[in-house]
Amino acid sequence: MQHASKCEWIVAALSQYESKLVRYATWIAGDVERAREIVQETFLRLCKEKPERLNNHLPQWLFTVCRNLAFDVRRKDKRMTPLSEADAARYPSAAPRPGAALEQKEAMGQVLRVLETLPKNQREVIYLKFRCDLSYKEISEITKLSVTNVGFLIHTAIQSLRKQLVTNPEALRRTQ
Amino acid sequence: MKIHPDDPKWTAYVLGELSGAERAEVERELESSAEARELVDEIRMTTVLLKDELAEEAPVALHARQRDAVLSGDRPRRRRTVWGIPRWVFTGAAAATLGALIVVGVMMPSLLRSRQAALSASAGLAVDVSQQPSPPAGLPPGSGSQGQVQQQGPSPAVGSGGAQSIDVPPADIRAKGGAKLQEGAPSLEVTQLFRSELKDEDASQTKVARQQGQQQGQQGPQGGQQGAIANKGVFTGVVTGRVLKAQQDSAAFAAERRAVPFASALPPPGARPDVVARPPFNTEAYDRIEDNPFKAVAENPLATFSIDVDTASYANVRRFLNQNTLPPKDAVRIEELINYFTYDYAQPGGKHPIAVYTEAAAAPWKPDHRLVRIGVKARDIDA
Repeated sequence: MQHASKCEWIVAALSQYESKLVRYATWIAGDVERAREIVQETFLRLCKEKPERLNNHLPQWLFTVCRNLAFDVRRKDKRMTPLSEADAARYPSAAPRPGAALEQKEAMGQVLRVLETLPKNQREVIYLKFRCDLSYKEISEITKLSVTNVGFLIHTAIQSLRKQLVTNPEALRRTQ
Repeated sequence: MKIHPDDPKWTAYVLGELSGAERAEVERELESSAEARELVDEIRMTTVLLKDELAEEAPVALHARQRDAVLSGDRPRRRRTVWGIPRWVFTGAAAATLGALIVVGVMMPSLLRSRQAALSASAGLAVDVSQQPSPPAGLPPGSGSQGQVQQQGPSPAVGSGGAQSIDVPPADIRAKGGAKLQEGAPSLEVTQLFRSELKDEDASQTKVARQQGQQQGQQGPQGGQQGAIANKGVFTGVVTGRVLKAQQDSAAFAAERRAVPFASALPPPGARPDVVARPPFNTEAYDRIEDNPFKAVAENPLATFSIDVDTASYANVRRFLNQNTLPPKDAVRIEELINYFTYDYAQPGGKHPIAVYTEAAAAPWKPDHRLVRIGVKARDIDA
């Protein structure tokens, strides 16, 4: 009985947060396959938790665990020996051909393109706020920033977006 | 009235993040200032747009197998890509070192000069093999004595679980100084080195091992059988061995070191009911470690690896052994074990920041494979 309710709890958490977490982890770790592994590990850890222990702060817990795992991956990646340019030129790129990358950019919305130009810490809080619908307080718990700092980062990011979008009224008109 | 657009309260207001009092204050300002109203409108539009576009992003789900693994609560079979390198490279190099250290080391003492190398648990085990009296009568025929161990070295089964060889012909191994190919002859030197170092540095471990040996002697046939079953070589047996239940453990553990790893002592494939019957080890969870496949260097010529590595596996193995328990094989990352030790390589000379040392030998368990050890030494810097 208890087992069944825990299963439901996991399934519910998966369906609600899976995609958001994969996106979030992709953003940190830089690779969607790694992100999937990170998110899988996050949920495996969730399986070991007691539902009542995470009452009321499940999203914070999930995003925090996911974030820590993703930063671990990124930190280890940084220790990798990078290719020299000369070496790199000798090997074919695994990235999509230039045209494909361009097409992807075109498809991406105006706002997201501007978002990409923002500093990483601003993008992270923007993502947690607007994609994951988390409150300042929840974001503060995940990122270990103060609530004030979270508010400041979000405001600064919104200001930058607003200023850039104002110079391109086409995008703004779509909202009206 | 002058407003401050850089005040985060405007965005907080739009997002409903203000307390009652703060909210009331902002609303008063909005009533009195057209500039503030315009600002808030623009912020609102920006947030709506942002939310819409982010929501339009295609959802990225887990793979079905990953989802299944979560729902079954099972540890996944996953290839570790965390290091951003094909893992076979690391494991290959690491396994090569392990081979030099532990498996091949028994045969090729010249590869081993490191003082610390002798301190390893593996060293303790190597010593023990030669220190044990002849096996009890219950051991299967062909399980041999210490003399056989040292003369014949590890059996074809040695290391088959934990180590890999790099699938390149010796001629393809190029590194500074060139590759030395040694079909090492058996020697006592390394065992003696181990023994003397161990006496100084880690006598307690030897003691534990001896006690286990005695215990095993009392248990006789059962222990011998366990040893034969768990038999994977002097050390890799510890690496790959499954965790046994407490009583069986100490017997099997001692027997494993005592029972000589000969193929003839192995039961036929599939005849391991006791292994299957053992309860899974579940007080600590480890990612399952999979052997990586061989790769052709012609197609995969480039590899990178981290020079800053963890050494946690060594401590972990030591902890298990001190508890008279075999570590679960997935608890041991070979590179974390090997890199625990300090190697006594000569510093690079001239303008070169690093020196690379390689040695190769036939893999003891598969002589047509070559086992390569690659050591990288950077210049020491005065701290």
